[in-house]
Amino acid sequence: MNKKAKKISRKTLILLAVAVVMFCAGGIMTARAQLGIFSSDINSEFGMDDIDVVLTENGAQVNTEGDEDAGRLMADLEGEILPGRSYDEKIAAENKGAADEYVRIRITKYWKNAKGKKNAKLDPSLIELTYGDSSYNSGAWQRNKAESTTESETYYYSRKLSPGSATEPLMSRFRISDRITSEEDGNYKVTEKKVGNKTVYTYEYIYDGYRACVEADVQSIQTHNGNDAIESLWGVTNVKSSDGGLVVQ
Amino acid sequence: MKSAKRKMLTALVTAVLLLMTSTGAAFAYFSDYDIGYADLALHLKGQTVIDEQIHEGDKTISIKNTGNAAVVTRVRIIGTDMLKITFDDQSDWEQHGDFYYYTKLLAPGANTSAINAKLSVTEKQAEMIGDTFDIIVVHDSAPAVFGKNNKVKKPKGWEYIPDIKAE
Repeated sequence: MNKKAKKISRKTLILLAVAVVMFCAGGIMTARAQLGIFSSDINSEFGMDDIDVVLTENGAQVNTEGDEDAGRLMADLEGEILPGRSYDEKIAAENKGAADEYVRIRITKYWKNAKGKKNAKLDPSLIELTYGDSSYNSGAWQRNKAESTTESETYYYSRKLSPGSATEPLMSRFRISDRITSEEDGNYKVTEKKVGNKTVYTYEYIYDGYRACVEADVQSIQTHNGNDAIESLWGVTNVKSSDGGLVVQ
Repeated sequence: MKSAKRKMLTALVTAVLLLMTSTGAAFAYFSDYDIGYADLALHLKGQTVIDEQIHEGDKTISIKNTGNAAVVTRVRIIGTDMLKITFDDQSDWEQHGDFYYYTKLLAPGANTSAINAKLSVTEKQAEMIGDTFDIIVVHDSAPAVFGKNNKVKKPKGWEYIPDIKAE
């Protein structure tokens, strides 16, 4: 029996050669990526400490580790809040790392009941926060309207923050609105009930016993490859790195 | 036919390899974050009671805040034309119309300084009054609410409020 030797056609050979070249190129790319990943790991061990941001309250770093009061803001106001009264409350960020960084702060406010359950039907605008003063007006902090709601607002610091330096205050005052006891706003009700030959009046303040909550979340990222980092980590496309700072478009 | 199959397979493998080479390498970005929070109870329901002490026909009056909210308070004493009114601390009370207004915030658990009401009548009036005389005291209070000028706002239904500022 004769077996016919099969010849591989030229076209097939060319295609195979291309396939081999492509495979090798892909392998090299992968290897480069592998090297890149390993290199990043090495850089990460060194680099992660380079990016370090903390919140400050009235100039002092907020303690976010340790006991149950960790991360607590306005602790000295517990039990002392008077409706309508304005309290100084300066919230800012400080770069504790070794590299320049971009910073943003998200402020969220809401009401919760005495048992800790959030009540989304109560009006968060009655928790009044004053954002900056001259610092805000000077453009140091820029509000991103695309990320802001009645409950939450996000601000971007327009300058890169060098190691050891702090931002200007984002928030400067805290106040529970005087509308919290307003009958016109429906926050205060008087009901009348006849009991025998007497009339019983019941005065009800809707917000009595509720807890005003404010959260400040500061985030920082590397300035190198800033636009890629912004989009990848913060998920926004209308905030751009420009001339050593950030611009909200 | 077999040759055609082989060619198709080779073309398919080539296409897959092309796709692989177009995939970019992965990058890592560095970031950090920190979180702080405030969680503050709001108390609005004030409750006050009159604390009266009677001694040989004289009455000492103060108001006690038994609720959990700071309040503003005022007192009306009926029959003041036959009484001599004095205060333990004059600066704590302001008279306006028929009422004496406490000039400070009354914190939960606190008492105002005292108002002293002493019967002061002529002999003829004393004969008309007889052995008993009622010094009637009424009071009311309202939660202390500040306006944007950081001064306490006048409660609804009150004709006046002293100038009480935030401390």
